[in-house]
Amino acid sequence: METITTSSTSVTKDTPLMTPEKPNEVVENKVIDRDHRGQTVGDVTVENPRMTARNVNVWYGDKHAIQNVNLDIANNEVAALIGPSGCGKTTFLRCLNRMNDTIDGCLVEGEIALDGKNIYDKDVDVVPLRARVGIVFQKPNPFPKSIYENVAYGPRIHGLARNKTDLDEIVHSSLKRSGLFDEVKDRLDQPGTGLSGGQQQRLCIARAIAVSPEVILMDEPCSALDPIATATIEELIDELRKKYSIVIVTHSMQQAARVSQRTAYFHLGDLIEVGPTSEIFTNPKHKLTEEYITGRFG
Amino acid sequence: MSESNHSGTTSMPSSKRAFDIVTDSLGKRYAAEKRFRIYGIVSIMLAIAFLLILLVSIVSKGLPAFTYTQVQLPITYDETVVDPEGGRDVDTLSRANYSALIKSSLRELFPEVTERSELRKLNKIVSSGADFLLRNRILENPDLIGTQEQVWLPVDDEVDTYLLLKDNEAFGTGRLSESQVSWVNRLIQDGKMENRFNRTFFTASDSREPESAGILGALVGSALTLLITLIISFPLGVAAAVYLEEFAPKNRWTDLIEVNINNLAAVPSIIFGLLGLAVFINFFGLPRSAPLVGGLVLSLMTLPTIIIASRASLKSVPPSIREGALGIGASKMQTVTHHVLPLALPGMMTGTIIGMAQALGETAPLLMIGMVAFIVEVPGGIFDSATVLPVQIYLWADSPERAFVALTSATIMVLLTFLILMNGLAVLLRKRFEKRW
Amino acid sequence: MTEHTEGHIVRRYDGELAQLRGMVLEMGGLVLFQLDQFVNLLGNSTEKLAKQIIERDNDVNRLDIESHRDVLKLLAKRAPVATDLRTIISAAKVVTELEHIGDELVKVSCLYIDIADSKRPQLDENLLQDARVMGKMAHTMLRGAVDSFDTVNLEKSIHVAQESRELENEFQAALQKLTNYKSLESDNNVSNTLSMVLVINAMERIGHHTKNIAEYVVYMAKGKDVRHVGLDRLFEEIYISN
Repeated sequence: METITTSSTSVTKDTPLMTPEKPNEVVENKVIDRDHRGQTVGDVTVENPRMTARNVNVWYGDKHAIQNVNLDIANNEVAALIGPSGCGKTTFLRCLNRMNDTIDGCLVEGEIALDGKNIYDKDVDVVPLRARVGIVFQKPNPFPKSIYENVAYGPRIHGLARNKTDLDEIVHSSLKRSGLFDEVKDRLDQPGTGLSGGQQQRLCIARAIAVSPEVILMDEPCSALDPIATATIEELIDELRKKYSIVIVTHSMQQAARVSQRTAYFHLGDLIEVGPTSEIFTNPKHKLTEEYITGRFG
Repeated sequence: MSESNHSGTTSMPSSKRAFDIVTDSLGKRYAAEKRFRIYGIVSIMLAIAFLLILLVSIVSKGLPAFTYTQVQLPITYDETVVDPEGGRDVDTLSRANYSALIKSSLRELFPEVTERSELRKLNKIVSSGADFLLRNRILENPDLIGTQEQVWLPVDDEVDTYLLLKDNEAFGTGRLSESQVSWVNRLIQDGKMENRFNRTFFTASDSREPESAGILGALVGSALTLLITLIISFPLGVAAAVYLEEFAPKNRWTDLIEVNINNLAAVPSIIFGLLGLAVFINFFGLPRSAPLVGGLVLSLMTLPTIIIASRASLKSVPPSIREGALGIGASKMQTVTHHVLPLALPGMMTGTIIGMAQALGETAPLLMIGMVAFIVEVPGGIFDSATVLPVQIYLWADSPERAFVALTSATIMVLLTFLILMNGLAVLLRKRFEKRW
Repeated sequence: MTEHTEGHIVRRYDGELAQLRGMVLEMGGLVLFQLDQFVNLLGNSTEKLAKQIIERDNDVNRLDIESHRDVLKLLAKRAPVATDLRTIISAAKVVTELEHIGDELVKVSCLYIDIADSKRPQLDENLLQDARVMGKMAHTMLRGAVDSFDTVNLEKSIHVAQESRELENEFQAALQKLTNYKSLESDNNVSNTLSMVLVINAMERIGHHTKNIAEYVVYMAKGKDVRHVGLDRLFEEIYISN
């Protein structure tokens, strides 16, 4: 048995971000001491990343929600963040477009760069940042306005359209890209809240892509949807990957396996393991990852 | 042996199955449930009964005030009495002796009355305020001078009270003399005296004479006061609520402010009146009894209500809407003005209307700032002396004349009607503009 | 049981995995018994023994079908990942290999019955000796492979792979011996020699299947596919990289 538990010995040798002095330990029991963790198994870097997170720490008041997380987000790739509830995956996601700024007592440390520019620098304005890094939430949250207004709102406040024709064009192409246009083209003036759950979520995706973001963050986008609507969204995510970088938080490991190219496993605020999705789901290196994805967490 | 067989448990001391135990206790549980329902129904019935008693007593007392006994007199606008100089001068016209016209008309109707004291009694049948009605008619239309017309004039309140209560043995003829009673009966037989709609109640202000007393002054005073209250408290309340709920950091100071706002809502209203007296009248020197000061004081009182209601309304806007707007790059201000406020506004308006209704019924603080004065004129602006409906009720309830009892109740009915209307409006607004998400 | 089946939050899952592994081990036991009997047959040929081996194969086939049904059920119901997925896939593959071994044994047992029926002269003791040695080697290997599956003991898997190479050498030597067999001219001997070739070939095949089993065990434990790689690479995969 000893032979198979010696995980994570050769992983950090070519990642310069790690502190190589600390030996990787084998997690034998499930009680994990915080001080002896904090090193991620697998390669957190990618070539030519869109976003890079370095030594990110997040506190909610006294609670240390995220510890020393390093992770790159690649271009045209879906990165899935998985882990048990309260592991910090959503917190990390919300750091990527500074949505955590809206939470009182939330402190973010470290560096998160978008195209090489730290988004937590003093001179960075969150408004354009959030236009570049869009977000789709767990519960579909269309504005209680018409379908058209929902999509047009973003371009309008950012002044992306010079006239009505431009705006129509943006709204239509966003709805088309989110696969919703054919279903709603005859009732653009009807309230977005009257759509089905899956349609509402696609409307939210259309709303996010209407402002031409570079990265789309998705926080459990399918958790409130039925399997058919989920499949539609997953197909859409796969389609959107051609144009955007996508980071998705999901509780469904099957979903992570289906839609993502890279998977990151969070546990109690630590990024435990990162790797190609196929690798994580057939042969994870870290014991915690293995236990989590096989349903052995006690 | 058979007991130990069933359900296979040895730990259960009794041989009864759980199902039997449940069945046995069911009756008791249902009885408790029924009892609780009965308590509830009984208390609601009690509340409804009290409300009905209150309404019935107010309506039965107040209804007579909407009508008033009036007498039809043939009035000759004698030019020598009305306008001896013939210049149709407004000043002369308004100072003319119109009661002489009424007196002569009465004397023509009852030529048999000659004795001086009897004549005085005859004149007393008609309201002492009737000459004002004639004066107003002439001032409106001076061409009437020299002509004769049939005019309905209010009777004296004693006559009205007598007609109302004459079936009551204990009342007898009240303060009317035998001869007055016989004249009144003759006028009624001739169809010259009957109960007609009391226009005066809605067109006149306060008066010492019940037959010429009306609520217009109080109504206008109330409207002006509420207008001031609305103009001041709604924007202030909404702005305070929006700041506290959406922008203010959550720290000890905002907590303190929140606690204080909640406490302010519970402060007795008379204290606001004292504050108004000290600050607005004594310190700022604003006029006493003015709707402006009344409105300011009521604003102080209504603000906490509006702030609390508005905050609750803002809180009920789901955070997902804010996140949605922030997530596509709306600024904080845009999020609030484009999304949160429109959704919260129906709730805010409901809260405001409820606060306004509360202010409409408020008396105590207005007593402190002198809005309790006897004011005959309808206020023309926010700096004029005025009174308000509840204070009018308070004043009339204090008056000795019997006819004021009916007026008091009638005013209460008017006030209640306005309160119901305002609350109805609040419900309507909520139903109409409430959005589902 | 090992950690490969234990510790799931859904305990039924543990049970189903354990049952699948149990079925594989039972099948392994049956095939081992068949092989053992066949080695006995080589020394002391009786028709009864051969028939027993053939009959035993019915049980092997039944287990084969049942375990495949269970594998499908597990895949459909539990959507296994990581170690569970590897365990289930390996179990399915091991079952197939065991079934092949059973088939080889039935084939050569039938041969024995044919020989007995045709009243042909008995096989040359000299040739039988080679076959017996190979049979015993295959038996040891199979036992090692089944053991390594049971206890997830990779040392044993390595051992099996090494032995498989020896068996290969033995097979080559035996073939060489047969080609040089001096009484090849005799008609009777030709058919006997052919039978003998079939027997040692079967032993060689069994060795090959056994080696595959050992490699699936490595895959199950390590997630590394070590089939069709040299012994050195196998060694490296197991001992050096994590």
